[in-house]
Amino acid sequence: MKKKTENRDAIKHIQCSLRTIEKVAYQTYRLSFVSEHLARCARPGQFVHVNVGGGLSLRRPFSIHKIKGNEVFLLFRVVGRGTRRLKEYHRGDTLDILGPLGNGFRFHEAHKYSHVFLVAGGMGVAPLVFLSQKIAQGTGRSLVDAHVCVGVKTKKDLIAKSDFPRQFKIYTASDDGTIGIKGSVIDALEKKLIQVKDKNPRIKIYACGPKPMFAECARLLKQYPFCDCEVSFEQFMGCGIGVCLGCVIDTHDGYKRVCKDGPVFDLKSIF
Amino acid sequence: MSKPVDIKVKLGTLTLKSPIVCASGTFGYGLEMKGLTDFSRLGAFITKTITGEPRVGNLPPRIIEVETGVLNSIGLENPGVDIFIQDYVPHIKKIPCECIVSIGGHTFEEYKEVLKKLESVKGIRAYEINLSCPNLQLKRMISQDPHATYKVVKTLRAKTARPLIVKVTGETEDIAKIVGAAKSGGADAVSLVNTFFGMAIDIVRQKPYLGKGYGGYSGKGIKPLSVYRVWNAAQAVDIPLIGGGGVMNAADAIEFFLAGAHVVSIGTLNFLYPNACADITGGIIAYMRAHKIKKINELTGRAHE
Ligand SMILES: Cc1cc2nc3c(=O)[nH]c(=O)nc-3n(C[C@H](O)[C@H](O)[C@H](O)COP(=O)(O)OP(=O)(O)OC[C@H]3O[C@@H](n4cnc5c(N)ncnc54)[C@H](O)[C@@H]3O)c2cc1C
Ligand SMILES: Cc1cc2nc3c(=O)[nH]c(=O)nc-3n(C[C@H](O)[C@H](O)[C@H](O)COP(=O)(O)O)c2cc1C
Ligand code: FES
Repeated sequence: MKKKTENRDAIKHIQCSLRTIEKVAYQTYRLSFVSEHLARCARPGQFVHVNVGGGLSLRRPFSIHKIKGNEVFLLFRVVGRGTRRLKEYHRGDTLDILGPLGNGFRFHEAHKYSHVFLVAGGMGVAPLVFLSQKIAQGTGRSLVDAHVCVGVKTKKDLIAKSDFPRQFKIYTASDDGTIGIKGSVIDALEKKLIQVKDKNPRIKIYACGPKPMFAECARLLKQYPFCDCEVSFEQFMGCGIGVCLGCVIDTHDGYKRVCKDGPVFDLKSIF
Repeated sequence: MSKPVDIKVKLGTLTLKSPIVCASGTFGYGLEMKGLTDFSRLGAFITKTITGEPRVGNLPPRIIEVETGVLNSIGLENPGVDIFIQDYVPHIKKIPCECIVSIGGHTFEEYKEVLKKLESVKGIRAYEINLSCPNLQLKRMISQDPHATYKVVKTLRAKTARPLIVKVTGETEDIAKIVGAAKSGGADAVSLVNTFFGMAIDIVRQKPYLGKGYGGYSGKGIKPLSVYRVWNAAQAVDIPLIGGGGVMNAADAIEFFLAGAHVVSIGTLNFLYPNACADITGGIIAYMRAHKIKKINELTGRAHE
């Protein structure tokens, strides 16, 4: 019995046929491919390591954005050579993938809290859609009060909003005020925390975004001690499977590998 | 039916079933590679370098891709020899493939201490002595100094009957002198090259990408540098050479054999293709058949003839 679960979770090197790819915002694309293995085993917060070809020397890590049946979605922003290549893929092309990788969010814990907040800065929205799906599945009785805070530069960057299940109330913040409140996603989150803080809440925050956002989250955690927070970190990677020790970040417990010990960490173990 | 070809090679008393090995630091301790690598087609894997005390490693970021390869500054992060023996060796023993343990140190004494502890452990088939660690006494790498290279190898030779492979840097004035010193000290084989020094600077932040600033350059860009050094080493000594540095496919590996390598190591490529070694072994067999080469030894050094 035990063996079976081990195999189920196994990291596999798989070739998948690309099913869809579309531009969803400025320099931002969503693609999908079919993988029974990933659809069955992947947990939210886990990622895949993609060999985009073209003579590049290393794979590129992308979070699993959402899963629909056997179809696995990635959401990515074009920032350099690898992502520029990836956006040129077409339906039917083969994607060379290692996965699922990393630990993932502890989504089963969501129902233990009175409120859950998913906090996305920029492309950080990618893994949170999959997470929201899993939380919604596990809490059909709507045990939790579920919220998403999304921060974008400007209105046009807002993506994936309609992908969050109905249970989730969505708040947006934009740098230029073209949508939601004018300010950062942390401002949006803090506004909500202030509203609920006298109701004796127990709050779980799941966050993904740029590093400065995590520092801000850490500040909120000190100010609102009824919050726990898990964050998904990024680091430059080599192997993606824990052998090269290239992807470490500094934690209170020493260097930890983002690809194997993470990418999800308890925020308190970092700040 | 195509005729069988003989790809076995000997490194001292150790016989490898394939002349392709995984380079130190690119395969961990083999454990994570289960299910991703066909161990039955791998000659051996060389562990991440083990030191006397645990090492925390360098400041991140530690690895970055550049146009022609990869820069890394891992800084020899490893759990130290005691934990290695206690926690890793029992698992390594179950891997169906020869394991060569890479030994490192920042002082001469550290090499001795690590080797001494490993001597009592069963299942280790050979040692690769990583002489590319910065040495605190010498203020440079041991393998940049022929006398120091000779001294370390001779000392370790007296303490073990297991095959000793000496890994040297390519960053040296005269590679022939270094490999000659390793041979005189009693090395069974020499492994070359390790990474070259390199740096990349982020023009947005106007700072180096790597936390430490500089790092080791590996991957496709270093292949011509590595082939040349293997060529020179092959002219200097007659002990087996493990050649590598920038191998991306079977054709690259064949170049190293032709330059004089008996065994070829695959490093950075493992990150892109975890089963690279098995695939390259297949490619070499196909090449041997096409060129009617029965034994891999016939290929070694052929370009010198
Ligand atoms: C666990 C994890 C999940 C991620 N999920 C997503 C996602 O869902 N969507 C998305 O758009 N991006 C995601 N990223 C970031 C993404 O991996 C990088 O944007 C991408 O690797 C850039 O590659 P490039 O070749 O286009 O850029 P280049 O800058 O040309 O890349 C050069 C090197 O730097 C590395 N690198 C550059 N930026 C990053 C970064 N932010 N994090 C890690 N390595 C980087 C590349 O992998 C490559 O090795 C994730 C990163 C990690 C670590
Ligand atoms: C991430 C990384 C870690 C490495 N760690 C070690 C190490 O611990 N000991 C060692 O002798 N060489 C180490 N090396 C060097 C490789 O073993 C190899 O000699 C070098 O990368 C050149 O080969 P390649 O171009 O095929 O990668 C490391 C290389 C990389 C890329
Ligand atoms: S990327 Fe190699 S250990 Fe994480």
